[in-house]
Amino acid sequence: MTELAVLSPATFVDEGVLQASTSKLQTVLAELGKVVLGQEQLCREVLIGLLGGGNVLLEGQPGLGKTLLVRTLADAVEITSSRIQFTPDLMPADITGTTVLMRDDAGRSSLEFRRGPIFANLVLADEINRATPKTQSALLEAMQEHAVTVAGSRHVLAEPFCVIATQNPIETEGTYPLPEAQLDRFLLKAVVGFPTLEVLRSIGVSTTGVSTASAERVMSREELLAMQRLVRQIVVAPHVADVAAHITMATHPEHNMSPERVKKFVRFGASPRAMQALLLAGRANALLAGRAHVGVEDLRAIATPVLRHRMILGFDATLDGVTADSLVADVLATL
Amino acid sequence: MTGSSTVTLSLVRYARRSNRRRAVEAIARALPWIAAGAALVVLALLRGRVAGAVCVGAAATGGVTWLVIHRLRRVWVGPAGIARVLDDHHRTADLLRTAVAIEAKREPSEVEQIVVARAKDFVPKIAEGAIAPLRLRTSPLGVAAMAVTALMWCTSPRQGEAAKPSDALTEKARAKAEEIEKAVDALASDKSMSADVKEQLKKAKDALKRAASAKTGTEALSALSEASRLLDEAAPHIAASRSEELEKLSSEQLADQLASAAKAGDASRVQQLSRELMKRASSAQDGGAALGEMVKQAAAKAGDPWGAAGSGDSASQRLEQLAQAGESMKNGDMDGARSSLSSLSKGAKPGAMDPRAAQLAAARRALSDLRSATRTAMNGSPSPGSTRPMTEQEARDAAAQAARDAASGKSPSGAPKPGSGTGKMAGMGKMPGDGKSPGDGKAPGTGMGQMPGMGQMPGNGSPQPGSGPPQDGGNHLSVLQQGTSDQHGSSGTSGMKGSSPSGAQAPETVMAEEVKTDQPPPATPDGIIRAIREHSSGDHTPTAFQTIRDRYAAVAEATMHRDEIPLTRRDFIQRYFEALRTREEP
Repeated sequence: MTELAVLSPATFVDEGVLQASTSKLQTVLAELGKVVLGQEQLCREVLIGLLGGGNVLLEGQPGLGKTLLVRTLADAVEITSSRIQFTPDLMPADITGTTVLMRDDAGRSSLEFRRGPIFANLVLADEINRATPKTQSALLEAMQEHAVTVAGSRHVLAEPFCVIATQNPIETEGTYPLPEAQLDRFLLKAVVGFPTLEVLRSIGVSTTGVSTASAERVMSREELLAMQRLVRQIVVAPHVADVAAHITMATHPEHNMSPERVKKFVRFGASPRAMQALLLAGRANALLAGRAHVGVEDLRAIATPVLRHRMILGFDATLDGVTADSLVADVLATL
Repeated sequence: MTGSSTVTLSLVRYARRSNRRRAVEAIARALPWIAAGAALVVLALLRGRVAGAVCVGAAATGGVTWLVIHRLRRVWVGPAGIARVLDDHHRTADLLRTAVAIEAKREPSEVEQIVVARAKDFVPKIAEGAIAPLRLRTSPLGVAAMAVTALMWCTSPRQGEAAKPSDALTEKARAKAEEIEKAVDALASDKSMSADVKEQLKKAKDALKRAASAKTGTEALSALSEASRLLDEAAPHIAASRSEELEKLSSEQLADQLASAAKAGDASRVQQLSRELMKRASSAQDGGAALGEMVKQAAAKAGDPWGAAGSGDSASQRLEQLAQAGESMKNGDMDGARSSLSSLSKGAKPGAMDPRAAQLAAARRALSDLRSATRTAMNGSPSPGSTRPMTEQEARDAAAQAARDAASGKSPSGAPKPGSGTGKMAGMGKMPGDGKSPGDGKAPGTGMGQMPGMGQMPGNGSPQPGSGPPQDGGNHLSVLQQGTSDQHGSSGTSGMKGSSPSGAQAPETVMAEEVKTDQPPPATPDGIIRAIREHSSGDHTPTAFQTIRDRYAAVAEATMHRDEIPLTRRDFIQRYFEALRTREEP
């Protein structure tokens, strides 16, 4: 097996490299699965988000393992991680860091920038909807720019950089829902489901014993960067790109190829970022499957997490209990 | 496309296989439509509608072609299309399709090369069953169209049925027509024929050829009638040429030929030569003395030099009679000479006719029979040889038709047409119903009007010697035509043979040598005129005029019943026949 440790941007990608990459990723997934029980799909989507160089929004009830997932992922991959608990009184400086006045032994004063928790490879932004919009904007800038500006100074964040934000769907009081424009910056929105009975039993047994499972480091930071570069090399055939464009267009109610329910319940469809996200996530999904090319089935697999947070539904959808996931299924049915 | 497009080339093979199968399926599906279209085209052609057949064929071809192309457009695949089919079948997540797209690029990247390599590895593993198998199905609508067409085919009449072969000439009749054509052709090839006669014979031959190749009975009968008319027109010219030949003979030749004919017993030849002899003698300055001497010498020369005079054999007796005629002529006794020559013609056995006239007469007789048979076949009326007795109406119709056919051709000049409103028949001396019988005196025989279907009316009066053109057997039309110039209204009879649908004898079937004086003449117009001519030549004694007149009246009545005579003329005709009754009749 080809050693990916020496993988560099100049490394010639061949069948061996591809197979090694796929194998490594499968190993990461396996390690995640050891700790985060019953969330294989969640782990896969988070890994896809990481490989795509994007950010992931997790939505689920408390205690389903969202924080554990991020920590386990950080353990499996040689990357730094941090956790930010968003509260209503959280300030932007609490995220980005601040400049403090320091006095040395000679008594000379200087301003020193103290990095905030955002300066990590993997940032868990817990309950992002609890923070004020001003604080959210500080995080969103970092998500978009991979840099923060503090006191006029720009500080670039280390690569890879990925924000995994969480939202609590239960509590709505005292929360600041992310605006749709900001939601669009998340590559995926993964829904953390409640585990099944068997999984719940396993969780109880494994986590309350003497020894708890932990993930081993199976991938280095450089390898992860190489993976991210490799993901962008995965081949997208013209017909696959056409399908991605078709899916994006079909989310718009004014378009003739959109299904009837989309026309009825969607106010605004997905933006062009959705197509970028589809292709990025599709490439990552293909690499995870060991393929060097994106297939239409890859798009089908990742269309729901990519599009569910990008379609703005109307009030009728809320009244009728129509979810974005069902509308995405309608869109996929038009293929 | 890159230099190595192995995946694409491999998929081309699969694509062709799929396309072949889909093409066969499309054609199988279109077969009922093709069959229905072809059947409609053939049906239109059989009904004689060529334009319709062309339109149907074009529409069917265009429709089937559109159907096939429309279907094939949906299932025709290229490498990319077959790649999709194979990817779906093998669940390869668009591997082949992506590889085809990559091979279309100029410089594939490293990862793209991996894709192509994987596709190449996969191609040999493509299952044979990945291409949809051949499924031959027919179009239900096409089957329904074919069933409708079959129903139309079975129920619609075709052109061939409308024109039954039995309506045109039968094979036998066609062969007969061709035989007559050959005979006429042989006559036309005779160098002694004049150019005019040859032209008419040639036209008659063409008409016979048309009759043989006619598609319908009507066409055949029309062509046969035209051929008959042309032969009738040619006959007198042949007879006339005969008289021209006689005029060219020198006196010595005339005498010699007369002696030869008398020795051979050729009565008709003797008659012809005698006429010429008497004509020359009457116009000779010496009163015929030199001619008489020549005849006498010719008779002596023709006799048996070793036979004793008065030996008694018929040839010698005839030569003695001839010599006697010559002696009489030499002495100026023209009556005696005429009497001797007449008795010579009468007593001698009938000889052969002019061979050309005989051939023509045979052809005309055969043609008449053929026409009768054709008419019978068309009308369904019993032929002369059939056993079913004709009804009264059929007999009248047949008699009228026979009379009309016998008089077909051009009518004499000046003859009134039906309804012409002249109120008078041309050439008639007195009107019927004027209280005088046309038989009180000489009724003009010349310029007698010819009624349609009836020919010329016989005249009534005392027999007159005739000096008309020489007779030739069977030349009924010439009798009609020439009879207008030399008939004197005398009634006469002559024995005739032949047949017509009315049961009367057709004159064209009669040969002069077959005439017998004790036979009743045929009840046809030309038969009547012939009888009159022959009577005027002194050959026959007129008998049974009543029979002739009655039959002729029947023909006229039948013609009137067929509504071909205007109503204003019918009374006229009936009174005419009443006026023809002889004094002995009640």
